Amino acid sequence: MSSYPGKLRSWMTQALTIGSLALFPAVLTFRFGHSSIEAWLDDEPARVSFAVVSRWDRVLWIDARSAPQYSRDHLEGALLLNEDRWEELLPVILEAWAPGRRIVVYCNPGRCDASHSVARRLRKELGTKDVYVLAEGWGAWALK
Amino acid sequence: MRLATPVVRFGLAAVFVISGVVKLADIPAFLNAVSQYQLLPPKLVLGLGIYLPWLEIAVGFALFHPRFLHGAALLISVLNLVFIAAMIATWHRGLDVSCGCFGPLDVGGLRAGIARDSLFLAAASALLLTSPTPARPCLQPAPRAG
Repeated sequence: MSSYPGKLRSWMTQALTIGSLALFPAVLTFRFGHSSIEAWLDDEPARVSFAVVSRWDRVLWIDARSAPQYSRDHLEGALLLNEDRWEELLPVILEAWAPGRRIVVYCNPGRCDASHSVARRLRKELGTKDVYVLAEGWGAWALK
Repeated sequence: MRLATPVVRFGLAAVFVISGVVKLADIPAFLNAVSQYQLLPPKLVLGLGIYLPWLEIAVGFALFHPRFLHGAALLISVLNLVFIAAMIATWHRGLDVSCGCFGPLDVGGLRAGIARDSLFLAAASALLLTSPTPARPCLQPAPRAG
């Protein structure tokens, strides 16, 4: 019958062995597998907090929420753009945007993939990396 | 009790192997799920997103081996503690993201995830504390006859 410190040491050794075993296929996956991982890295827009964005000049705000939510209330100067009406709304964005101007996309706080998908698509279609997602989402300015 | 231990052991093993395989099947989706927690920078999200599914598979298979049972149960307990802490922290910040625990098989949001992981934590802890340590092979020479 071994003591608890002895048992714990043995359990931790086992856990480390298991963790090390998992490391090999993970490294192989990263090295050889899935070009989709690289695509994810390239596509994933950076998230920025409102505190950071408020120091930027000439930001083009994009509201990725639904049209009724946008009509009810939106950040001053923000333009509506969502996947549902992409083709219809994109020309307005193109008119307002110029290369070098940063774009920040927001949607509802919490469970909201819309800002990420809109930002990813904008990065691809505008050919710029200067598209960001507002980390806190809608209402970040009220949290200040 | 005699029946409960293998049921818990194989149940946990199945959950972790399935969870790992499902995540590996669509790594970008899992990376998105992890990044939505907004707790880690993208580079760490990437590392964790690739390593965690393999760790879950390794832990699941290790539960089948008596020599690694306690180590696997310890790892599952620690992993679930970390998952629960991350979900509570995210929930506390008002973010209602999906758990991301089972990829497309996910059911419910953070609250469901916290409840589920608490159950896994309890099961793994019980396994850790109640499973007997396998006896070491006896290395002493057998007594000579005569």
